[in-house]
Amino acid sequence: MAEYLKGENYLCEFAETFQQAVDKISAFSYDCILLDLMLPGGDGLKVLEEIKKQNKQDGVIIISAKNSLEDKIRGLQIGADDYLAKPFHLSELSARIHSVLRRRQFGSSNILQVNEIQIDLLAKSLKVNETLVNLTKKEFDLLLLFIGNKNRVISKNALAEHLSGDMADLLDNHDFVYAHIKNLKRKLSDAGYDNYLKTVYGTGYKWEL
Amino acid sequence: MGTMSKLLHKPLKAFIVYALVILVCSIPAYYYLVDSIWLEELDEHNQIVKEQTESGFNRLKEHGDDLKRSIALWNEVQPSNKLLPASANNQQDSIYTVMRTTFHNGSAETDRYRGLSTYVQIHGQAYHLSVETNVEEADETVLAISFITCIFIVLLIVGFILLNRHLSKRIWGPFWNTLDKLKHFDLNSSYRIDFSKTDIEEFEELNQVLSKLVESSILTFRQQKEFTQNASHELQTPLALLKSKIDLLIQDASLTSEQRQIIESLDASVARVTRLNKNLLLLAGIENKEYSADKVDLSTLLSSQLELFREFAEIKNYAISASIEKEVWVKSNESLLEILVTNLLSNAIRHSSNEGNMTVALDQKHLTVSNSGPVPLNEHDLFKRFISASSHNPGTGLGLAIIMEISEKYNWKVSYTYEQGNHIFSVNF
Repeated sequence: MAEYLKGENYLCEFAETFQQAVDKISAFSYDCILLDLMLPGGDGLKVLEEIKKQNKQDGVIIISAKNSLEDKIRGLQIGADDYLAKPFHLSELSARIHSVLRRRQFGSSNILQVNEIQIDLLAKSLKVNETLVNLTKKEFDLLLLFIGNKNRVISKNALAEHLSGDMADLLDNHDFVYAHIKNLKRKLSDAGYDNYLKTVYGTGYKWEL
Repeated sequence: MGTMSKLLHKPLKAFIVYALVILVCSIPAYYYLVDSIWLEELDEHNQIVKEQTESGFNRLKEHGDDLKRSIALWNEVQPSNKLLPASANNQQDSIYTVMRTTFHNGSAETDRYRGLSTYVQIHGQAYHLSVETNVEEADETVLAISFITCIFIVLLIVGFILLNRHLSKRIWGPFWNTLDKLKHFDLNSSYRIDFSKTDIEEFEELNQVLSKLVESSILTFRQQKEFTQNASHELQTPLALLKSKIDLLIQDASLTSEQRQIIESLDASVARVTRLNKNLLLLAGIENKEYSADKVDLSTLLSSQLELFREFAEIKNYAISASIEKEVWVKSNESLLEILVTNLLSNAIRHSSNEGNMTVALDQKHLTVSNSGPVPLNEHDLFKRFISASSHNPGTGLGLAIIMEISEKYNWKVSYTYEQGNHIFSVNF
């Protein structure tokens, strides 16, 4: 996990037990904390409570092997930014971290600028060189996933899972992914944006910058 | 069930038949008894008449013609008795029974008579005296006895049935109680059965044995569920690792296209196992009652789900038509209801070829999803786990089992029919 994230130029630190985690959050400030609920030595949610008690602004993404609704609701209520159930694709994690960091770094601003494109996260709209490009919700989701995983190959399965969410049993159909990617590519190039979206033969797609 | 009868009815039938036989047999017995008492009494009576006649005439101070006239008058007044002069005196008395027809008020009547033929001495002269007394005829006696017996038979049978009903309510009460509790027992609910105490030894023993059986079933069932859940949980972490490693591996630019293809099929398999695991956990979760229930607007939920599927359907060139009644509120957990709807819809899409069609209908009581398909599915196995209708489909084989499980949780009824080339799944709320 850390290896993948290092590729995104993130600096990672680990806490292997409950106590280490509590010590580290007290001592340092982090941009984003990935909190596994199954920490040896204590309940992961207690760490989250500790962070909030110390009035820290660290972003928190809960990672849990238990895909339990109650944990999710409790975690988000205490103040976690996101919840991710194991097992997940690293690209998914990376996109979520990206989103948490973005929210923290940009504060109230919801505009994301990458080269010639400008993304309004609130209005869910995309501008290329100041021209508005109409994207469907799925295409917009895809775009965010790619931007959160620059220069990384994202497998078709990961894309399918990202797109269909709970419609789990439809994931197998890669035509769905293919159709959306094709549309997204076409819309971007029609708007005059350089084609950064590359097909990696037999594997998936990559956003190259 | 035609030949089945209740336990208590079996002895009842035997009792009734036995009582019938005994009572019918008692009819001739009573007849002979009554008849012999009758005859004995009448013989005694005839004997008394003889003695009274003899002493009566002897006390009269009449002789010769006067006596003859008196005897003639006596004979005249009592037609059934005859007093006639006899030649010899030492002849034997005899008793007999005869049937005589008399004319009474113009109609013939046959009566039975008990007679005494005897000899008396009146003033030294021997007379033959015959006394005959009317006896009830045999058939009349039998008739009367039979009539009374029939009344008793009816009384007995009615009594038996009433007693039986009363007893079955009282004695079998604990049994029905136990049976009722067993009928309503649901292994899923994990509630132990509390059998009520009874003072009948056999039932108490039955209850104890059943309690033990139920308890061990619950225990086994719980262990099995926990096993599924624990196994799935344990699988999550290695699966996560596997997924991450694959994600890392595909970043390697030096991979050949052959290697990439191998990795892709690996990735697809991992994705499938992940989904399978997720569904198993979901199934275990539904069973373990981890969900709270609210009133959910199914109309809105269905519409938004359909919207997601429409995008997919467009790519597959697949027609979806829907008629959704507004404001259909269903009491359930929103996530579970969403899963049920998603599974129904994706099931329909997955099992029809490209350019097929799907119809969705929702009203206050039913949700019906039908899709075109060439062959009817095996209704019997359809909702079991890991029974995929066709071998080439990509599903986990748990979709319908999940639908079933959710429906059972809320007491909804799921049914499958095949009509005119359409698979029709419907849920009755």
